[in-house]
Order: sequence, then C-alpha cells, then structure tokens
Amino acid sequence: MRRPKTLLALSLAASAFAFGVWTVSADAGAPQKPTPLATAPLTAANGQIVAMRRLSESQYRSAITDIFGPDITVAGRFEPVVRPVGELIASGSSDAAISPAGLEQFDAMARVIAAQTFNEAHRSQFSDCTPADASAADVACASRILAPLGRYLFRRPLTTEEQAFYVKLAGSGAGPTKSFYKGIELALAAMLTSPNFLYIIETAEPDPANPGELRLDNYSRATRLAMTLWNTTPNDMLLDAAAAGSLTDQAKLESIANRMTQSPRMEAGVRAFFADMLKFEKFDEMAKDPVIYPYFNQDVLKALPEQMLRTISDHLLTRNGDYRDLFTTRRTFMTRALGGIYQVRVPVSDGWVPYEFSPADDRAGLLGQAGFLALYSHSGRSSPTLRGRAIRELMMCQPVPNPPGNVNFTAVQDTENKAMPTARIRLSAHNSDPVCAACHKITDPPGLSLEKFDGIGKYRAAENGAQIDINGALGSAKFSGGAGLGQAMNASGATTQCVASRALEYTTGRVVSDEALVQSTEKAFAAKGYGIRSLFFQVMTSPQNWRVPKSAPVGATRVSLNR
Amino acid sequence: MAYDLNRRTALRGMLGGAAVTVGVPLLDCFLDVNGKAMAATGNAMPIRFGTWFWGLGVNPTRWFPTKPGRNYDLPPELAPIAPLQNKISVFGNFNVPLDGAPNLPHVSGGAAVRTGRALTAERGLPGESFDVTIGDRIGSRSRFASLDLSATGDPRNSLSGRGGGNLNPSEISAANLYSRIFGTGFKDPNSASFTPDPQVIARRSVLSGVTEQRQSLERAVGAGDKAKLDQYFTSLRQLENQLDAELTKPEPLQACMVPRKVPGLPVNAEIENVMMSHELMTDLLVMALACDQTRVFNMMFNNGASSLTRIGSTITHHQLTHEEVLDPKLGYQPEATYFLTKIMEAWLYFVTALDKVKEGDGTLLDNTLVFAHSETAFAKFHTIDCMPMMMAGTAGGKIKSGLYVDGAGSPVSRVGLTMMQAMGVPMDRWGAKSMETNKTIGEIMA
Amino acid sequence: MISQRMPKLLAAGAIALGAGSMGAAPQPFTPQAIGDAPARSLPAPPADGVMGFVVSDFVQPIVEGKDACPDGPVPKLREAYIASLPAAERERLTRKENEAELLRAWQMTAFGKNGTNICSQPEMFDRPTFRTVQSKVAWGLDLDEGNATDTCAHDTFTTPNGQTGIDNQEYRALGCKLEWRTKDGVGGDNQIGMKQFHNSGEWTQVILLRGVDSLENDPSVEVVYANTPDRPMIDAKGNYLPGITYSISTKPPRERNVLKGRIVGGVLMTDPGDIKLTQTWGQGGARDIRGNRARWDYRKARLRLEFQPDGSLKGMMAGYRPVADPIISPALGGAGSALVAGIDCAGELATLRKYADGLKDPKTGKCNGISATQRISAVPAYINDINQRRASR
Repeated sequence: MRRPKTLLALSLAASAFAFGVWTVSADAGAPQKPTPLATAPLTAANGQIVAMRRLSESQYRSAITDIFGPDITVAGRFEPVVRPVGELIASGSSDAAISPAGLEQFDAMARVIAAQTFNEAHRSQFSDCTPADASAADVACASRILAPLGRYLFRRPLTTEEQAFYVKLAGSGAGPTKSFYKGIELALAAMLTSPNFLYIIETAEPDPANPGELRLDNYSRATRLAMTLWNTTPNDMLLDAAAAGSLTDQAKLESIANRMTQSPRMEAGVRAFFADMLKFEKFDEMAKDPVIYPYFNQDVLKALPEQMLRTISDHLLTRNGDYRDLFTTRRTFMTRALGGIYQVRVPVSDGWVPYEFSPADDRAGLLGQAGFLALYSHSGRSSPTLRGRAIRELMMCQPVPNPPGNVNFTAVQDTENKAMPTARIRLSAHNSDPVCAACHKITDPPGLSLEKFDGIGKYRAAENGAQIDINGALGSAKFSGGAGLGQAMNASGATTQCVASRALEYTTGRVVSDEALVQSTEKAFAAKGYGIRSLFFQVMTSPQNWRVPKSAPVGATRVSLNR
Repeated sequence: MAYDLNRRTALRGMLGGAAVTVGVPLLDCFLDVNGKAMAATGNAMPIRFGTWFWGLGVNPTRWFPTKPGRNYDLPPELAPIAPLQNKISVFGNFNVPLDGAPNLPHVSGGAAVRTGRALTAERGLPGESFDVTIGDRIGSRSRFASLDLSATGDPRNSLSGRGGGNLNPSEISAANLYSRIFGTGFKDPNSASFTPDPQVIARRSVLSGVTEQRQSLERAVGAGDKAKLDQYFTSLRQLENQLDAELTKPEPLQACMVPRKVPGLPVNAEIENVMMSHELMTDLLVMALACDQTRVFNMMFNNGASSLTRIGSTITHHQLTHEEVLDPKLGYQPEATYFLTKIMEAWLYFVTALDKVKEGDGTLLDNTLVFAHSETAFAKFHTIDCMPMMMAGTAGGKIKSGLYVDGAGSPVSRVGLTMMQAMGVPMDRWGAKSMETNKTIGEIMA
Repeated sequence: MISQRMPKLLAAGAIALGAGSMGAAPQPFTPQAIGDAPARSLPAPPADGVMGFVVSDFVQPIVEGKDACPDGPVPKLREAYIASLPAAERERLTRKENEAELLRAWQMTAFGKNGTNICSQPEMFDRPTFRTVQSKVAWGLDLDEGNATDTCAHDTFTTPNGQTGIDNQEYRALGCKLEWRTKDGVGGDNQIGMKQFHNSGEWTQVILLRGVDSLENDPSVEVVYANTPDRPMIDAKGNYLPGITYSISTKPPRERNVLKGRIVGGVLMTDPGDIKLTQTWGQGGARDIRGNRARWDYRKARLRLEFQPDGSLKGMMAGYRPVADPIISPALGGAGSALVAGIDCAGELATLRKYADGLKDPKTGKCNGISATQRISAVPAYINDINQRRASR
C-alpha cells in the first residue's frame, strides 16, 4: 500500500507558523518543560465513539508491513491482551487498557519504525515532495507526506486540525534537530503512539433503518472488514469505498465482502481467528518434561501450532472444505522435527510437506494432531480431562465449571502408582467423589478416547505396561478412539453453532448473547455447506451486525449441551 | 508484566467476570518496572551493562548445578561464587547449533553467544555483538561508549564489535586505563554542568503532542471507553515523567571518588600477574561506573585459547586442556582445572567489587547487569553445546538474580535477546537460522 | 517404502553407550563388547524390505587392559625429548629453574628447516617409531582371509570372542597412544571425543538397507552407507532417538557408498568395497584447507553388523586406510598439534608405515595401506536417499 509517487500541483511557501522551541538551562534542577506549541484545539474525528479495541500484535505488525513495506522491521514486546474467561481475545481487546510498561514499548517501537521510514534509503518512497531546505521545516511538504500516512494509520482521513497539528509537530522537531526529515520522523512517531492508531476506534452514525438507533459508520466498517477478514489495516480500496459511502450500501457492501472472502489474503484472517478461538497463546507457555518426553524440543514446539493452522487453512480455504470435516480429515503437513513425534518419514530436511495419516493411525482432524494433544496435557502426563474440557469449551462452546478449590488430586497425579497404571483407572478413583464426577462426566468420556496419544501427542501402545481402553462418548454418541471421536464431533451440531457464535464475537469484539442471531447465522452457514468463507460473508453482510447495541452485553456464549 | 496481568485478572475475578476495566494502580507498576532507585530520589540511577569473559569453559559435571531455581546446588568448581550466590544466576543447557558451519575451535562459541550467529570466516564477528547494541541504547551519552579491558595483555582479545572485521580493541594496562579515565579529560560528574539530550527533548515534545489529543477524544467517548482512555493517558504521563527525569540534572553520585594512581604491572599471561592486573582494572572500572564515565564494559579475563601459565611454568592453560589426559577416575583434568578455580575466584572478585559500592538503597551491582560466559563448554573436545554462562546484578530491578536456569537445549541466543530486552533495546527476535529466537527467558525477567 | 508405523521403531529402546551427553562432562568409559551375543528373536523386516539407521557410535574399538602396552603409553614430545637425553643432562634440564630452557629445547624438536614442522611436514622429520600393542587380542575383521596377494607380512589378532586372523595394524601401531588408551589401560580421549563430535551434528552418518527379506538370512541386500547434513536428535542422556528422518545430501563433500551384502545368522556382512565418509571434524573453516579435507577413506572395506532384538545395529567397519590418513587431524592442526597436544606426527607416520599391511604397490612391493577398524552402533531411522525426495503419499 505504499503511496505511489504523484505530482501534486500544490506548492506552498515555507512555513509561516511560529514553532514552539525547547529551552533548557544547564543548571536548572527542575524538569524542563517545553514551551507549549501554538495549536488549535483538536476536534473529534467522526461521530460518537461506540467501541475502542486495542490493536493486536499481529494486526499491528501487518498494518506496518502493509503501510510501510516488509523491510521496515517492527521490534519490541507487545503488552498482551488479556483473554476474558470463556471468551475470545478479540473480546478482551475491547476491554484492554495500555499500561505504562506497555506504552513504553509502543513508544520505543514507534521511534524505530519512524526512524526506518524516513532514513535515506526509504524516505523517497513516502514523500512525493522535496523540502525547500532539508535542514528546516517545510509546511507544504510535511502536509503532503503526513496526510496520506495519517489516513492509513488512523484508518480514516485526518481532520484538518489533526493534520495541522502533526505538521506543526514536524516543524517543531525540524527546528532544534536542523533536519526536515527528523521532524517528519517525530510526527510519524507521534501518530504511531496515538490512541487513534493503537486503538481501533469504532464510531457510529444514526441508523436510518432503525430510527433512534446507531449503526457503524463507513470508516469503522472498512476497518472491521479489513481486520476481521484479512487481519490487517484497510487498504485504499476500502478507504475509498468508505469515503464514497459504499459500505453502508448493502449491495456494494456484499460485493466488497464477497471479493474479500475470496481473496488469498483471507488466509491471514482465518489463521488469526482460529489462533484466537483455539487459545494458541497457550503455546507460549507450554513446557514438557524432557526426561519423560525426549522427542519434545523447541523445533517441535514451533511446529505444533503451525501444523494445526496449515491444516485449517488448507482444509477450509484451499479445499473449500466443510467445517465439520475439520474433525475427521487425515490430511495435514509435516516437518522433520514433527516426524519424530509422529514417527513418520519426512521427505525434506527443512520446511513443510503435505502428509496424510493412514486410517490405522487413528488421528482424525484437529483433535488428532500433536498440537492439540500436547497443549491439553500436563508437562509430564496426558489429561483426558483437559482434552475433554477443551473439546467442550473451545470446539462446542460448552463451558465447564472450574474444579472447587479444595479438591484432592492425589489419585490422578500419581502416575507411579502401580495399582492405577492408566489415566482411566486413576480418574475413576478420583471420581468416587460425586462432586467431581458431575463435571468429569462431561469432560472425560471424549478425552479418554485420545489416551493412546501421550502428553506430547505421540502414539503409545500402553501406559505403564497396561492396555489402554480408548472407548469414549460424547453425549449419547458412543465410540472408540480418535476416529470415532472425530465422527461424533462431525455429527454434533454444536461445533458449527460454536464456530458461528465465535465468528460473531470475533467480528464485533463482544460476546453474542442473542441466541436467535447465532442460530440464524448457523443456518446461513449450513445453507452454504459449512464453508468458512460463507460464514464470514454472512457475518460481515448481515445488517444486524452493524447495528450498535443499546447497552453492553454481559455473559458468555451459551449453547445448549448435547444437541 | 506478569504482575500487571495477574492483578488485572484478579480484579476481574472479584467483579464476577463483568466486563469492567479496572486501571492497575500505577505507582506499583512504575516501581516494578523501574526499580527502587528511582523511587528513592525521583531520578533514575544510571543502569549499566557489561560482560565478563573467560576462556576454555569448565568441567561440565563439576560446574553446572542440577537443581533449577533459587538456592541451586554448587558443584566444586562453581563453589567459589558461594558468597554472592543470591546475586548470581547460572545458565545451563543452552546450545550453539551451527547449522553445518564448522566449529572453529575457541572462536565459534564465543562469537555465537555474542551475536546469535555462526561464524563462517575465521576472523571477526558474524554480526553486531549485543553489548554494542545495548551500548547504543544506554551508553551513547556517557564519556566512554564502553570500556573494553583484557587482563592477559592482548589488545585483540575482544568479542565486542559491529560485525565483520570490526572489533573494539581492549585496554591491556591498568596504568593506561587509569590515565584514560581519571587523567586529563576527566570531568567530575558532581561538579560538571548538565546538558540534556536533544533526542530526549524531541521525544518529550512528541508525547506532549499526543497528550493534547485527549480532550478531543474524551468528548466523543462513552463511559466504558473513557476508563481505557484515562488509563492510556495516565500511562503517557508516566512516560513523560520518565523523560522529565532524564532532562533533569541528576542527583550527586555519592560513591564517585577519584582513586589513587595504580602501579605499573608487567603485561603477561602468568596467572598471578593476571589476577593482580584484573583486580586493578576491576577497581578502576568500578569507579568509572560509579562516576558515570561509562555505562557499558567488557572485561576479558583470559583469551579463548587461554595463554595463562603458572609462574615458573611454560605450559599454557590451553595446552593443558588438550594434552593433559582426562583422568578416567576423576573424569576431569586436574592441572587444567587449577586455572578454572582461579577464574572463578577472579569472577567473584569482580562481582564483589561492584557490590561493595553503595548506590541509593542498594549497590552498584544492583544497578548493573554483568553477563559472564566462556567460548567452550568442555575445552578438550571444543564442545560448544551447554555453554557455561552467568549473570550478576539486576539492572535496577529488571532482572531476577540468584537462579539456576536450565535451557533444555534451546539456543544460546535466548540469553542475548533477554538481556537486550531488559536493557530496553526494542527487539523481539534475534539471531540467525537455528539460533533465531523470539523466546526470552521468562524465569529471569522481573 | 517404509510402512506407516514400524512397530519396532515404537518399541525400540534407545541404546546406551556409556558416553556422556553432549556438553555434559565425559563419563568414565565403559568397554563395549561388539556383538558377542548371538542375535535371537529378531523381528520380521518391513514388507518393502527397506530399513534405515542413523549411526550413533563410530570409534576405534580398544580391548582394555594393561597387557596391551606393558611399557606404558607412547610418550609425548616433551617426555620423548627428556628420555632421549643423557642422564646428567636429563637431571639438569628437568630442574625447576631450567624449565624455560627445557621448553625451548623440546619445542625445537617440532620444527625443521624453512619453517617446517613435525605435523605439517612429518616426512621431513626422522623420528623413532612408537611403542606398539603387544597383546594378541583386538577387535576387527579378517580382511585378507589369509591368502591375499596384495598384502605385506603382518601378525594377526584374535577377537575377545574368539575370531581369528584379525587384521588391525592401525590398532597395533597406535593403540598405545594416550588418545587411544590411558596409562591405566582403559579407553582414552577418542572414546569420548568421537562421540562428542558425532552428537554435535558435524558429520552424521546413516545406513540404508534395501531388499531385506529376513533379518536371519538373506543372500542379497543393498547397503547404502552415507553422510547426512541433518543434525541427530538426542535425548537428555545423549542417546539417539529412533524414528527420525535423515536425508542423504547430494552436495559434496557428503559421501554415499553403495555396497552389496548378505545376512547370515542375523549378521549382515558386505562384500569388500571402498567406503568414504566425511567429517567436518570441528577443526577449521573454508578459509584454509582444514575442515573440508578431513575424510575417512577405507579400501577393500566391509561392514559387519548384527541385528539386535531392539531394532538397533551393532558391529564394525574394517578396511585399509592410506597410511597417512590416521594422522590427518594433527597434520591439519600443524605446529599447534605438536606444541599444544604434544603429538609426534612424524613418529606416528613412521610407525604406521612400518606396520602397513595392505594396498601393496605391485611395482615397489611396498604397502601403502594399513588395516583398521571402527566400532559402529546405529538406531532405526527414516532415510531419504538422493533420488527419493518426493512426498511419500
């Protein structure tokens, strides 16, 4: 999205503004204060602010790459957005504040990005004018450089006041540094540190279809389309469409949403969505006991989430597959490091190759992949309960309560006890307590069918020398092993309803409490053969989803158990 | 950061999961990040970074602890550090994968630790060493960008540089070091006038610019989002305060005293002489730090292929590691190990010297991060996996000390990345090929 | 094609070889018997007859004990120099105050005219031959089968498990060096050092068998013995993990040796052929000749490998090495090898020449090769051969 060089017949005389200058006296003990800049008060950009969602790390990164090019590096630590219990990080971003330490990092990153953008090698790509004097301020040229950058960064045109402000900032920076580009760099750093960039600020306008209510305005729609579908900042096409008011025109909106869901860039959006839905941030903290699991190492850890994402993207996008078959497909991708976990030959030393498991492997879909199996295990043992809970909560949107605080876990944790060699036996001892049994009845039966895969998802024939019983159940469905579980998941309506409600939550940044909306979305999803593109097309084009709710919804997604 | 998250999560829990944003008490946060020294005076104490290098590694089973965490065990060759164990962390099982590049004896290992890259030429460094990167961040305004010292008398003994043939040469004589620091050109920091950094001034103006947008945003925002904006602008004010502190003339450096001149010493690699030279240089360096003449340093105790000898003997430490037979009963080489014991004593001297200087509520060591490392794990066979490394000091509270960290075979570059981040270098990924990493060592990040 | 899940891969216990893990201190060496237990209850080979292995151990085997070198180890340069002096001079020079003079004097023995040194130009130095192995027991193979015409006169050994006619003159010539055997008669630095080099991934070796119909008896098996650039995966104790993929590289100097063999009674033996293997050796970069040149070159060489019930292989490679090859590492190290490690390359070469027993030049009647043996262990692995890089499904 680099700005093409255009020759604008705009030429202003050198700055007539009086710039504020820092004055510092060498022996003063008190903090030095700047002489205030002479600025006009700033006014709000557009309309009423109805939501502020913090930019995620990946959105920040792709925005910088799209705006400034892939050779501008983003280096720094991102303050993580906290995941609210049972919700998406996308919802957490609606609540996310920026702490002092977090802002310090954003400030440092902004300075690094700005310095790269206006260094000698890059500046010409972002400026179509040359300052009259490279060692002094130049209002006209600064405006021509900063206005388009501001439009990309704030995802809407700068207001007149904002533009004047940043131009002035560039001028006040050019003075003491005796460099026009240093001044521009400072102004860009200020934009990158602004809440207008760090927050996706959603603004609303009166909704003609529902008098007295609000709907998202055009620029907020452009941003939501880009961030949801492509996980990046809106491009010229979207910003122009917003300027033309096309995004509140249902027909034009549908045409744009259709183009975007069919684009190869949809992969970035789908990956970000599932990384959020499947809690991939947990991979950052995953640790395994190297004595128990010698096949686990850093290369394996790096490959585990990527294998799942490649499977998802290949199945749902490349093959336009049915979402439900994500629980049964045996197709995946392999690296040399993963070959150790799966004990398979990998034809290359570096990189990924397509791979298909044999039916005898009993690895069906996402739940048969080492990433899922390892993430929902303990550091030294597998856990039918953690796996079952993840299946219920992440894949079926069925919340499982936390265990009470005073539970005695001795029986389940003692893997050395010869009398209780398998997890099934240990869990059944643990569940003699009816308080525990109530929840374990929900989690363990599906989880137990995966017990032939150990705590890193490697196949095992036996546990502590004892045979492993892989009979399982999901609601009323009874089955054996991973393939059976995959079939049961495939047949369960809960998975499609769950992903539909997550897509709504992901898009709006709010948990969707309107069951009718979830069901109508699922119905449209079903009508199109459960294709992920059609699900997101539905979510992005349904007028209801652009309406601003009257009050913030409270509570988690609820879908009835065992449909 | 972890603290921040826990606190917010806890508050969230108290409010029953309702979607309410609660600002974290800011002062706590601020202290957590910036340490006590700042709270005491209102001004930041200078934070320093340095390295301490020794050649020829260790006898791994007699040096590496086995128990991760605090109060780690001290095998015989690590035992000398006992008096300051709670201020020294040890790192084991961090590897140096070379991806097929040859292991150049005594060269590849040290270069990989410093640059996160494998050497392919036999000279220089494969990239910028992290001490230089850190120096650009914290040391650019002090009188010396860094002080680079070698106690064995070889000025080319250095692992610090911008990459390629660029190496920062080492000072080899304590007497020369004295005149460089305290001779003509020395400015008493407590009497000198103060010139604020124009870069900081410019940054400060950027932040005040952002602050001015507050009103316009707040006018259009609902109550829920206003809480977020308040938090943002409070954070911004903290950042402004930090910069204001940097623009303020610092408190007097109480520990700064001009030391007495040091005697001239022969420049050679005899261990007793090297020990003495190292002590003199250490004492001068400590005063240079206390007087804020530099914020970055590199001390090379000996060289990679160590030319240390014992007085009256001509056989070198390096020669011993290769020629001395591995005693199959002891499992190590007793003669070569003599030097390792001396090296650990010297390391303790160095850390103790930093810790003796009081600064604010703590010591100079507390406001410093010293990273010690070698270039081989077991020198006889030039092994470079499981590189022996240590850290002392907390960089003003940014790093936890007194831990044994087991890297479980992960790349050594994690250590460099962690230190650079702790010293404020904006960097999330470092190293090349198998040594490229974005995983910091969470255990030691405060 | 290798079957999807090989039960023996899953069941295979990793072999423990007594050497320390990478980076951990060397453990005292435990002597290894080489295949003295007859293989039994061997599993059936996979249906496609293809089996792969990664070599986890590759080192000169020694038979421990003090009887091999009754006069003690081969002295280092310094000791050799002292021993060569008349008694009075020896007494004078070894006094503490004369240490510097002694150093100069013994180091002088490592240098010759025109900047030559004893390791870079060993032919230009006239040094006495080494103390050699005096016992009659050694590991190895009967390479000449007693009747070859291109060998030179030599004694043979018997293996500890009773096989006779064993040709291993490299062991005879060098087996009293401290690198091979300590003064107490147990395994020297080589035993641990070779393992360390191997574990670092500098020169991983693989074995690929094709056409295996039975692990007990099979008259025809193809054996590919090659190098791979892929680093081995090793557990925390230094054991190689089974079931990892390694690709044979086509890029020089990676080597790929194709041999014909047969299995008799659970033992795979190959027909004599040339075997070349590379070793990065951890000794130098592209700038000089080091690093790229280190190579294991065996002529008329054979592999003798026994299938183990746990799926691994144990055995030996034996053949004739060009006589100068055993000193290639110190020769590449040059003067440093002599000064730092005290190695007498000229004496070593002279000893190797004296005991050379193979590769006879028909014109001169001189033998230019010396019989030598390496111990080999290997664990099951997936091997991609050079023409086999497609996805398997």
